[in-house]
This record gives sequence, structure tokens and C-alpha cells, in this order.
Amino acid sequence: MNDILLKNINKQNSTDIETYLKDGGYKPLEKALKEYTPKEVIDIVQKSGLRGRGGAGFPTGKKWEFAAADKNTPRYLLCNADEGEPGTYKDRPIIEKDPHQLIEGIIISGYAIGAAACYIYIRGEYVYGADVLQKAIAQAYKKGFLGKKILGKKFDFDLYVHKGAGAYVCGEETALIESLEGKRGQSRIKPPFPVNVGVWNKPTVINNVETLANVSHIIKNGPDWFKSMGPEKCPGPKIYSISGHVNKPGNYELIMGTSLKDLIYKYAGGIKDGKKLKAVIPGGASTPVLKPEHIEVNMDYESVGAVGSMLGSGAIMVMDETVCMVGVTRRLLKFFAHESCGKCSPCREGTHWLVQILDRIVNNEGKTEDIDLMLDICDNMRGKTFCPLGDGAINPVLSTIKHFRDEYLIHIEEKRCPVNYPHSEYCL
Amino acid sequence: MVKLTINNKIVEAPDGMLLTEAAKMAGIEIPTLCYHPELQPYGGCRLCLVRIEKMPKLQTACTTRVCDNMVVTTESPEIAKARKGMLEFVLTYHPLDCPICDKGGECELQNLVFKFGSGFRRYAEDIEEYTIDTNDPLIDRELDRCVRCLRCVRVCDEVQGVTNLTAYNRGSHTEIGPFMGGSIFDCEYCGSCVAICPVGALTSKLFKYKARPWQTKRTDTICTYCGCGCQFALETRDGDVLRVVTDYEKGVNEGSLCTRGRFGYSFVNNKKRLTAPLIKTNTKLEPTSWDEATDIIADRFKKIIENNGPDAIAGIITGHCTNEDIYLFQKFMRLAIGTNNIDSAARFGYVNAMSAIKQVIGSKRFEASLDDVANADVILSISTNITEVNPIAGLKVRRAAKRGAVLIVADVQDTDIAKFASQNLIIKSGSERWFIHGLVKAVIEKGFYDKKIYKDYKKFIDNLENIVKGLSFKEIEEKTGISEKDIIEAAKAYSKAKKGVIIFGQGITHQQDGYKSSLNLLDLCIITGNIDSKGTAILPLCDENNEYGALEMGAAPEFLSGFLNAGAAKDREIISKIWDKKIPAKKGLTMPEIFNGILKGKIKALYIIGENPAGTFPQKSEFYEALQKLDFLVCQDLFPTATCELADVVLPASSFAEKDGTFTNMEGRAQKIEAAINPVGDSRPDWQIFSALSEKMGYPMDYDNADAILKEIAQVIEGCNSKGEGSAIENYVKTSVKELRAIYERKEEKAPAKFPFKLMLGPVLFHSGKLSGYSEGPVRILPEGRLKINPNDADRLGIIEGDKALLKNANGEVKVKVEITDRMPEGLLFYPEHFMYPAVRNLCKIDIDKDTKANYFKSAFVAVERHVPEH
Amino acid sequence: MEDTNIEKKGYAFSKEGMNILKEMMKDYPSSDALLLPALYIAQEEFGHLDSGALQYVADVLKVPRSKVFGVATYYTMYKTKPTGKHLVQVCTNLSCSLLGADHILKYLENKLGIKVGETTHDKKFTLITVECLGSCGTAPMMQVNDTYYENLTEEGIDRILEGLK
Ligand SMILES: Cc1cc2nc3c(=O)[nH]c(=O)nc-3n(C[C@H](O)[C@H](O)[C@H](O)COP(=O)(O)O)c2cc1C
Ligand code: SF4
Ligand code: FES
Repeated sequence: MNDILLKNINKQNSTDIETYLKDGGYKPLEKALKEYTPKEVIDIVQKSGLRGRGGAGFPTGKKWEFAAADKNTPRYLLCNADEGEPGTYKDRPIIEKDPHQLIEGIIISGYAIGAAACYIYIRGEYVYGADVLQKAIAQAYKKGFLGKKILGKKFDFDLYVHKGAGAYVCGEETALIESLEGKRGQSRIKPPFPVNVGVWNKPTVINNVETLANVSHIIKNGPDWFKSMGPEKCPGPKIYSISGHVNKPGNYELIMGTSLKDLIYKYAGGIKDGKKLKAVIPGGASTPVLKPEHIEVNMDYESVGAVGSMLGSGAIMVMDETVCMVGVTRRLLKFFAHESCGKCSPCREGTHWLVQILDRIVNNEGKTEDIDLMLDICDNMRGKTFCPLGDGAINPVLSTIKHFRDEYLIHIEEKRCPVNYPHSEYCL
Repeated sequence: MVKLTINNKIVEAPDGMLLTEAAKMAGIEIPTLCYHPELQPYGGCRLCLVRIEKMPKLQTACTTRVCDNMVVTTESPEIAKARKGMLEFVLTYHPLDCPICDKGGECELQNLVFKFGSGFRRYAEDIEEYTIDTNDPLIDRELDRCVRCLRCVRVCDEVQGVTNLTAYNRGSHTEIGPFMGGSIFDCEYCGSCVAICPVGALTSKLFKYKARPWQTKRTDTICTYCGCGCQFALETRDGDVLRVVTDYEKGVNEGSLCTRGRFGYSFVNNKKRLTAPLIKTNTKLEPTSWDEATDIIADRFKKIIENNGPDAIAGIITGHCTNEDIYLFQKFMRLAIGTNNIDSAARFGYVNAMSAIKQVIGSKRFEASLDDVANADVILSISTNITEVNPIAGLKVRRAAKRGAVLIVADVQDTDIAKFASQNLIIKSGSERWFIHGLVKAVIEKGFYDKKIYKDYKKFIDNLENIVKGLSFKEIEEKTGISEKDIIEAAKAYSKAKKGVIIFGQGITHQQDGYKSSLNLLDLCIITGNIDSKGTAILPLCDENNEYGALEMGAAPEFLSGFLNAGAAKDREIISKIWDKKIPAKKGLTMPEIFNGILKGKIKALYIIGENPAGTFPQKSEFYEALQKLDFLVCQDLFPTATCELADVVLPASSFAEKDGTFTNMEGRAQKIEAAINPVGDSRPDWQIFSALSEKMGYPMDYDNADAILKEIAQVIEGCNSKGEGSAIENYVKTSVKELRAIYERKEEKAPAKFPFKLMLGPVLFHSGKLSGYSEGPVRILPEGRLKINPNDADRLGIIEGDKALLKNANGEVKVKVEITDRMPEGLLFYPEHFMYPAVRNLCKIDIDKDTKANYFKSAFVAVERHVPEH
Repeated sequence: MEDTNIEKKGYAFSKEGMNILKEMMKDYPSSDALLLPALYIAQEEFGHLDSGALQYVADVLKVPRSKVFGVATYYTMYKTKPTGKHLVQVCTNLSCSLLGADHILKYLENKLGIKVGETTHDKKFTLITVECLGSCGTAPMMQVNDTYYENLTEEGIDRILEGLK
């Protein structure tokens, strides 16, 4: 595969606009601007069935429609390039290797919703990527794809890169907006939703990099082409990032709904060193852990949901038999505690508390009540935190207790790590 | 209005109201912690979770707005568990130190846990030892008790507009504090953060360990500091005022206070208070009984009247007294003594504004209210330094500006409110009149005036045009430092206002020609149509809380109660009728005339209430000299002042905390105060003293209580109002060209070559009048004055921060500590007027206004050099 | 906790820094949005964000200084304390840990002679751990200042550090 979104990444000078143009780049933009009204672009994207690739899977055309319907102007488009979900690195190749694909998608999307400008909010650590984008944007301005009267049409549109500064939660839409406005990146109360009251209180659409990268292809090939790929409810190509204990970790662009088994064994070359598969996280750190028995699942929103996890960002983290699941859970919870913004008490205190309990258990100082206590803490967090970060944070705990309770019990009761491989002495 | 169902009960509420508030209205309690009605919704503590039908998750009631057909459940096992859970999170490592926590008994968390929480702590990890940060002079901070509700941070930003506090760090490391997390708040010390903190994380040092909240008595009253007239409650115990608290929806201040109001109460119980009458035997003041003291006074007064006539006696009263006190005082002077020689602190400048307003608008309630300020669309603020002098009025301006109102600030220095201004015009000191005339000129010449008004007042506006014609924008710029463009921009913005308000302060009123300047500002209102219609008007600020009352009650030789004209027989008749005794017709003397009279030997006796001329007049002035010349001086005060030392009899008065009555704030709003404690020592409310004296003078004025006086005042004022008056403005615009020309005269002041710096004395945020210096709070924050000086000036003089400067002029020299700040323009110096020592006031000269006889001694020309301390 | 008495002197953006900021000013409807970029410039030019630097940024943008402080301490990439010339940031999130991030960290600690969070005596290196940097497919990894180093091995680290001296 790798023939739509990632098809350019191995080309020479792939970031150069000339390379991109040679392959028919910016033709879809021309087509959109010349042949379609903004409303028609929205309709096409709606018809294609494109759903957001940032994690929540919201229908992209719908989101655009809401924003476009709001008469308040100027409207803004924000490209979410915060890519912070552990395990996820799918947006990076697009940003670093094929920036024009993203830029073209952004311009078409901006045209569709009638946006005055787009800000690409890129995580601060992607210094290289930000640089690539800056240069590519400058090229696009030069060619007249950005700026005033784009392609001679009555369409002005600006594009800027804005760097985050190290905060996972800024990937959440409203936290991203706050951060862009120069504040502590903490989520806002919803409603009002960003499509109506977003950045600088103007209607705002926020889309993930991969989502926007799809747009030019949809315009080029038509909605039916897009819809023909993968499941009815969630069609199109999808970049899966695979990491952990596999032979060939990496990004694989496949059709939505490719089975987890194929992803691990067919594409990623199976488990490293011939070891046994123990657990998989299918969609980034905030999605529940799956067991080998779930491996047949198709990787689309509905199917992964049906086996008790989530597609999330499509970041697959594979763990072999040498891994202590209590340690894994502790490792992930430390992340969430570190990233909790501190605004709401259940997330701020809950994540911190869970880490402390997990620390104890991993150090073989756990108590029998600890499992129930953790379950209860999770229950007190579930659905009660200010933003979804808190809900994501409890998933590792709940799913590992569900699937690997025995490992907790061994740590607690036998005061030892259930896994007998040397490096597990750290329990991660 | 929408209809929704809460717990099966149909509830009606305004559309868009927060669910917490709608529930409260319906008598249903939803627990909250981070929510505060004064603040924007936040949704951090998650305590207010409720179930709303059709929503997948529990929702926070404090962020949810009601809509039609909403179905809400606030009580269920699920919700009870959620609440318990949220409380547990808040409490994870909150110290359980309630017995020694100052918040105990009024801690929102304590109450919530008692009601909804669980009985024990499941959090079994080590809890860090907690530390109280006690380095700030007023506010103790104990971060382990902090529940991260950010109410403090939010009130500091959203309500106070100060944004001094912030949350810093992230997640469970989040803390709150000022810049860099420092332990000194170094802010305006309004105390809102302390007041709003639901737990014991931020507490007042002054109240610490004084009492549990249920042991105190709460008395609603009005602040005694400035003319804003803020409402608050005094909490007292056994005769001690322990703290000041507010209710967020009450009063003009809506719960906000400035540092003086919040922390400036302890003068009431200051050990230095006068507690018994004193009489001078030989050269010493000795305690005596009230009976003897009043006997002596009555005797001496009677003798003086006998020998020299009633006009040999004069009285001066402070603007800190109640209306009842002041009313009775002037009645005492006019009837029991028989003289119009009465004046008040309003003569220091406020009288200028009020005389001008009365002249132009008449005797109706004429001023803009603080609400008008908050709702204005354009505010022109001239020479006010409002956030320091009248902080709550300043808050209204901030609020208006934050809401989008155009704020134009003109001042001789860069003031704090300018942060919110669209135009910040720094005008040269002494050029205020040029600036105002520039505005009038711009309005007329650029055609910004109200076209409808022009039809009515054509002649007036044409006359004005003639008068300002001679003044060129070039000259204006030379004098003021403000360009033609800026003046026109300001004039344009103000003329376009739908609800334009002009605010002016001491820089106008307490300056040469303050009366004329006030008139000029009123002209500006008239020609732009910003007068007389709702929400547009003019507001002179006053820095003593009841200066308005002092004038309205008639403590001025030219005014009778209700602003009636003491010089008009008809007006005197109105009041004489009610008093059933003739008011003396002889014109009374104003404050400067009184002191002149003393020097000339015409005035023999002076009765001073709450003022301290010996401590505030420049020592080299004739006025100061006059004080030594009196035959008989009576001083009635809270504290033994420098003037008391010269007195023959000293009478201990009760403070605002010990008496009933009313104060009238600068909006003209009379508000009740109530005694919170019994009079300290043997002191008495002022009105009782006048009452007792009047009896001994043979004209008994007997009242059961302050309320009875108020009834009489009401009657008098009603009598005045029935007088009937044509439209004052109609009369005013008939002003002759000659008179108009006089109103637009400009006097230039030039610094003598030897004394090139202009020194100004004025009020500052942390002090006000004479009382704050006796209060622990203000003194802790600002124990001494500092001379503000521009960095370039300081550089030239070789002065660095922390140095002392020597100020010199013909009147003497003083050494002062300096504060170098680029807020001061070059050539201008500022020193707070509240500090007795060093006696910077001694450098000033006294200026007397030609029109109103207002006396000013707030500026001087001086030379400055670095003071080199001797070793 | 630092002294809040600010010595303002000595803090000023270079011409280039100021120009970048001025240029950016045109890109946003509100200058508040420049806070994050301005903090980056300040960090770049002043080394780290101490009280003087934060106060300076507040003055330049006319944003309350407390707000600047709140923002600077919220994001992990702003350093309020001095760091060594090379900030070695090792990802220890799950994917990297699965492939030996702990080992890499230990190796670096030994090699540099410091513990996580410390700076070498010569002020050349500061070693810290970070959360996922989006290199999970090329784990383990570290970032030194702005540069990513992926698929780390002991020998690789030797070479990288050598190149940084
Ligand atoms: C805690 C949290 C972190 C998130 N991080 C990211 C992210 O790094 N990148 C991203 O595209 N979406 C992220 N999201 C999802 C966004 O909130 C949002 O749904 C997405 O950007 C919408 O774009 P899409 O519709 O194109 O997917 C995150 C959500 C949450 C709750
Ligand atoms: S100090 Fe008090 S008001 Fe401020 S966040 Fe903490 S608990 Fe809330
Ligand atoms: S009161 Fe509603 S979340 Fe705190």
C-alpha cells in the first residue's frame, strides 16, 4: 500500500513544491476553486464519508457545515499537528516529507468553510517539521496558492505555523485554541463549540493533519472513489503507526478496517525475536489494551469499539510476553499524570493517586484492596473529568485489570513480578 | 423564561441562566466549590455534577445553561457517589488541620465534606509536610490547603482587573501565587483573593487567630475612607473590630473593596484613640468629665459672643462625619452660635466641582452614578489617578473598558487605569485648562457638537467658539504636550458617545481655577449633548467619604442644607421656617477667610471637628501662624493630633464603627451606617456632642437618636426641593460673553529657575485621609512615603533607588526616600500626602481660589539633590 | 522561588528577535497569541526564562507578567532554570521503554556521570526524560536540543555525544 497519503514520502526532494507539482499537485485545488462552490466542496467531503483521523472520528464534512453556517466572521481553520498521543507518529511523515499535500488539503478546506486563515498548531518538539512546513508555505505563497486572490478567484487565505511548547492536552481542540491564544493550554467549557465560538471567539474548524491530507485526493478522485475503500461507515485510507515488539515497526498506510492481525503479522513482520504476543494497544495510550484473542479485529472505529477498545489515532503498540502489564500501566499513568492540565480535580488528583498506587504495587508493596481502590478511583473519574484526557487516562488501568488481573495479584500477593524476563525487573 | 424540570419539580428560570443558579432559585441545593456567582463559569471541581436527561454523562451544573424542557436530577445514588468521589479528590492531600486553620467554621470544603463526604481518608500515601508562607505583610498562603478552584486567580483578573495572581506549573504541581510564585503579593491588596478563597489557603494576617467566625457579630455599614461609599460588614467581638467582610452582590462595590476598606479598619481600636475629654491647664492637656469640658466650651463661646459677637466664632468639620453630625454641626453654628462661619474639608477642592455643577445643573441629583460609569460607552477621565484615589470607581472604569467602552485618560503622570485606555494622554502639570479648552475647541471647530443642542444653544456655542478661537492648537500642544491630532481624536470619541461620562479628580478640583475648569468640563458636556439624559453625565471624585454630605448638609458659608443659597433671603426663609428660628443673614467665612480672620483678630474661637490644620498646613504659612493666635480652640477628634496639642479643649469623638447615621457618596447616594461596637472609651458620636453643647448654649437641640436627625434632614431637603426651579442649564447658557471669557481665563505657572521641579502632593492607594495611618494593614504595606521621580531626572541628579533626596525651596528643606519610576514625567515629582513625617507639606505654599475660596497646598516648586548621609 | 524584584536591565531582544516578533504580529488578530513564540525567542536569546526574561516578555507584549509566568511554567519546553549547552531528552514513554529506553537512560547517566535532571560540571549536558516525541516506530530515541536521534544503540550514543563535544 502506501499509495495515497504516503506515496510521495520516499521521493527525492519530496518537500519541494516542484516535485509535488510535477505529480499533479495543486491541480485538485485548482479544480475545487474553479469547478466547485465552497458548499459543493463540503458536500463532496460529506459524501465521501471522511471521518476525522485525530482520534474521535467525527464526520469532517459535518463539522465544516456547522462552521460554514455560522455567519460570524472571520472563520478560522486550525490544523491539529500536535501529535502527542503516545505511540502515534503518523502525521510526522506527512509534515516532514510531503508538506504540500497537507497545505493543499488545508487550502481546499479553508475554501470550503470560508476561512480567512489557517494556523497549523504543531507540537513544539517537531522543530524539523515546523521548518519544513514554513519553507513549503513560503513556496506556496510564491506560486500564488496562498495569499490574496488565490488562482485568480475571490478567495484570500493565509496559512501560518504556530508551535506548541510541550503539553499533550493541547491536542484537545479547545485546549489547542487556548494555547494558540497564548494561554495555559486548558480545555474550555463546551458548549459553545469551536465551530461557533472558537479561536478569538470566531467560528473555527479543527482538523487533524491526516484528515486534511485526505482532502485533495477526495477532490481529485471524487467521493465515490473514497467511499469505495473500506467499511461503509468509515471509508478511506488510514495510516497506522506500529511500534513496540514487532520486527518492522513503522507507518503503514492501508485501507480503513485492515485487520489488526494483518497489521502486526503481515505488514509489521510479526513479533520480534519470535516471542509470543501478550497485549496490544490499538489506538494510542488512551485506548484500552487488547489481548491476543482480539487480534482478528478490523481496525476501524466500529469494529475496535465492539471488542472494547477504540481506534483512536490508529497507533498500535505491541507488547510481547516479556512485558509486565502492571509496569506498562504504571508507565502510561505516569504519562497522564504528567500531562494532566490541573484544572479539574478528578483528573489532577486521580491520575496522580493512581500512579502512587501503581508505584507501590510494582515495588511489591501493594495491598489486596488496591485493585478495588483503583477501580473505584477510575469509576470516580470516568465521565466526570473536564476533558477526555481523564477518560483516556483510566483506560490502561481498567483494561489491564480486566485482562491481566492475575499479574496485579502476583505483584500484590506474591510480591514479585509475574514476568521472568531480565529486563522486566524494572517493570518498565 | 424557560421551563425545566429539576427533581420532578417544574422550575421557571431565565433562558441561559446557569443551572446552579436556577436550582438555587427553586430552593434546590447543588453543592459547588469552584463556582462563584461573581465569576465566569469554570467547572474545575466537578462537585456540582448532575444528571441531565439525554446527556450521556453527568454534567456540571455550574457550567450548564438552562433551556426549555431540560430534565435534571440532582439527587440519586449515582450523584451522591460522584460528589463523594469529587470531594475525596479535592481532599487527597489536603491537610486535616481544621482545628488550627483560620478558615474553620466558614470553610466551604469543611461544610461540603460534612454534608456529602466520606468519613475517612483512603489516600494512604505519604502527605508532604505543609508549610505556611507568612512572608507577605497581609496575606498568609498555605498551598497544601488550596483546592485549585482558582477563584482567587479569577477574581483578581475578571473582577479586579489586576491579574496579579496566576496559576503556575501544571497538573498536580499546580500552585497559585503572584509572579514567580513569590511570597510577597506586591499588588493592590484589595483582599478579594482572601475573601473569595473557599478554604484556608489564603488568609488575612490581621484576622489570624482572632476568633472563630461564629463568635463574631456582623454589622452592615459603609466604609469611611473615600467617596465611593462601599458597603461592607464589620465583624466585631467584645468591642473589637476584627475584620471587614463583604457580600458580593451588595452595595455600589458589589463585594469588592480596596485595601483601605478591607484592611484599614484597625484605627477604630487603636490604642492611641482619645478616650476622655481633655482640658488645658497651664500648658498640659488633662482628662476631665464631659460635663466640665462642655461647660467650659459653652462658657467661653458665650463670653466671646458677648464681647465680639457670634461671628468671632468659626467652625470647620471633616468630611468623614455623618450627615447627621454635619447637619447638626451647622445647625449648631447657625442657630446656637449664630454665625455662618462654617466650613468643611470640601473647601480643599471638592467644593469647586460641586459649585460648578450646582451652577450649571442646579440642585437636583445631578451626577453620574457609578453604574453610569460601568455602563458608559465612552469615558473621559481627567486628572484622577482613579484606581488609587477611588479604587472602586476605578474598578467600574476598568470594567467598562474591558467591556469595550472607549476610555480616554488624561493625567500628568502615567496612571494605572491607562492600561485599559484607548488613549493615554500625559499632559504637562498645570496645563489642564489648556487641555480642556483644546477639547472644547476641537468639538466646536470640527463640528463634533450635538446638532440638536446647537439649535437650542446656538448663541452659547457661538460665544464659546469666539472665545476658543484665539487659542491655537499649536499653543495647546506647547503647553500641554498633547498634539492637535490627539486632542481631536479624544474630542471626537467623546462627542460620539451615546453614554459619555466625564470623570475628573483632584488634578482638576484641587488646583488653581478648579471651579472654572469644572465649568469648562460642563460646557463640554453641554455642547456634546452628554448631559442630563440618562447615563451620561459628569462625576467629580471626592476622596473623603462624606464631602458630598458636608456640602449638602450645609457645612459651608455659601450653602444651606439641600444646597440652598445661604446668601439668598428666600432660601434662608425656607429653612428658617422648618427650624423655627432665623438663620443669620451675615455672610459667613470660608476656611481661608476664617484663618485670615484669626490673623486679623476678628475670629477669636475656632471649633474644629476631625480636621488637623496644624498637621496639614505648611508650617511657614500664615494659616499655621493663625492657629497659634486663637483665644480659644476646641478640637474634636478620634486621635490626639498636632492641632489637639494647641487646643484648649479636646473632645473624644466616636468613629464610624461606633455610630449610626448616613454617609452620602460621590454619586449623591445616602447610605446608612450602623454602630458595630459601643463608643470606644468615653468617646461620643459627634452629633451627641453638638446636642449637649447646644443645650448648654441655651438652644437645646434634642434628638433621641441619629434617625431622628435624619427625619429632620429629610424634611428640610424636601422643603428645598419644593422650591421649584427653572431649568438651570437654560439659565446657565445665557452666561454673558464677558463672564464666559472669565471662565476661560488661563493662568500660566512657571517654575522659578532656582526651583525647577514641580512637586505634587496627593493621595495614594494604600492610604486615605487621616485614619489609614492609624491602621495596621495600610501601614504594613506602605509604612512611609517615597518621592516618585522620573529615571532621567534621577540619573541627572545621580540618584539611585534607595537613595534619599533633598528637596529644597524658600520654605525649607526635607529629606525623602525616592522611588524611581517612568510613570512620572520629567520635571514632576510626587509625594503621598498622608505622611506627617517627613513634613514635605512644609514646602508648599497656600493658593486660594478666586471664585470659591478653595485653598490648595498640594504643590510647590523645588530644587532636588541627592542627599549624602553623614557618617 | 525567586525574588520578584526584577532587575529589568540587561534583557532586550536582539534586533533579529524583535523583527521576527514584529513580523509575526501581523499574523494574529491579537498580540496575546505571540506569547508562546516570544517565550521561545526569549529562551533562545537569554538561555533560560528567569524572572527578568519573563518580565521583559510581559513588557514587550503588554501582557500581565503573572500570566507570562503562568504560561511559561505550564509548558515543558520552557526552561525556567538554566540547562547545559546540550539538553539531552530521552523519551521514556511506552514504545521507547518497550525497546530499552531505560537501558539507554542508564547508559547515558553512566556516560555523562550525572543522574536524570542533572547537568554536567562543564555545563555541557543536561539529562532529562521526556514523554512521547512521536518516534515510536524508531524507538528508542532521544532529542538533543532540537535534533531527533532515533533507533538508539550504545555505539550510536557514543558517536552522537562525540559529535556534540
Ligand atoms: C487529550 C487529547 C489529546 C488529543 N491530541 C490530539 C492530537 O495530538 N492530534 C490530533 O489530531 N487530535 C488530537 N485529539 C483529538 C482532537 O481533540 C480533535 O478531535 C481532532 O483534532 C479533530 O480533528 P479530526 O476531526 O480531523 O480528527 C486529542 C484529543 C484529546 C482529548
Ligand atoms: S488559594 Fe483558595 S481561592 Fe485560590 S485556588 Fe486555592 S483554594 Fe481556590
Ligand atoms: S462548582 Fe461546578 S465544577 Fe466546581
